[in-house]
Amino acid sequence: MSEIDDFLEKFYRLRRKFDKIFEDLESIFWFEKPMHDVSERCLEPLSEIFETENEMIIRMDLPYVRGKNDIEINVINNVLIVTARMEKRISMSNALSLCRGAYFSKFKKMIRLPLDVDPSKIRAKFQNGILEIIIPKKIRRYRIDIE
Amino acid sequence: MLIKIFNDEKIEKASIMIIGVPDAGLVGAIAASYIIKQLDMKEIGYMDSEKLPSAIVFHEGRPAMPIRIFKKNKIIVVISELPIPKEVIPEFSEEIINLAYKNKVDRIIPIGGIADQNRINVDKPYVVGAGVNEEDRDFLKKNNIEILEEGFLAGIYASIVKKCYRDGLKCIVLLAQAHLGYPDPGAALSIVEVLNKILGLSIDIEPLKKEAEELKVKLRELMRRALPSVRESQRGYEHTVPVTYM
Repeated sequence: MSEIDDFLEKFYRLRRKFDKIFEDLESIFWFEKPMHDVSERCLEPLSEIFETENEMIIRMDLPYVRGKNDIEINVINNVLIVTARMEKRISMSNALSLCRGAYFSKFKKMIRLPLDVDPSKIRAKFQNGILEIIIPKKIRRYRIDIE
Repeated sequence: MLIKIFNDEKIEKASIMIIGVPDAGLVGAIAASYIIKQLDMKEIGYMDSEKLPSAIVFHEGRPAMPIRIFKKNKIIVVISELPIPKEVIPEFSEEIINLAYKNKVDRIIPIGGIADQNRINVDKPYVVGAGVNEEDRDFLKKNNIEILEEGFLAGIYASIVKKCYRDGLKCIVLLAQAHLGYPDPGAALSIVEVLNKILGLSIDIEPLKKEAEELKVKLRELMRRALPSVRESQRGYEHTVPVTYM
């Protein structure tokens, strides 16, 4: 790993820590980021991220999404972008919220990936309304046989 | 914590008290809310505390306390629409026990979800029951409900169970396999089916099946807000093996 890669990895790790701190703060206070974007007519899906020794696993709940053909997954500049078309338009007509009267027709979620994963080997499955994206980690550990 | 019962409503003897609060997959709150709606239960009171967030909900244009008490015949349902902060858990559970004593409740049934990463692969979530005393465990066995044999229960329901155990009250906790961080109407449906069976109810589950996706969309914000308190209340203990009898 070059010094630049090493620096960037540390930088992104720090950034994720700050993102987590802000997410936690947002969950405590009422000024949290809304889970919708009226201008793009999209909702943010609920998501979970797990890590195993060899993989990063991202799951998203996508109600009203019917099949894999309605889902698009891209990685651009190390940012994972998932968009999914809903079967019907959803409105929050009776909600006391900023999105009152607006309708939504898709989900969109962007996640910055850590540098130690390999986006070219991403695989995904869609089952029971949940999208699971599995991103292998780059192999950085080697077993050395003792002669 | 304040409990207000409107018009001195009398609760019949030998009643069942169901408790549903936002937890893993919001299962307890979804199931309790569905039961209230399907049984057309009457709101008879509420619970409040200065330690709860300064929030009030509106239903059909009317303000309503986030923790409310409903009744129909011999069934009482206590529902919270807000996550119960951990500072409020001891007084909330103590007041539940007081309410049970005052009204000669026969059995308390907290309902909720147990987070399982394998939920994604399951169409029909299982339900396990934890019985406080021998009579409760016999009741679960008689109704063919898998009994939680070994393990921890943590959080708000653990607090209620501890107090029931202390006082010798009948209590069974019903937990459905659920997603941790997504609203899980499917798990709530499993709970309602079990309640139908053990309480001899005939709640129609079809409307819940039809509303499932709408609930998943509309409850996203509440789920996000509830998740930190679910995690904070140490629900992870439920996957921990206790140290004794290994």
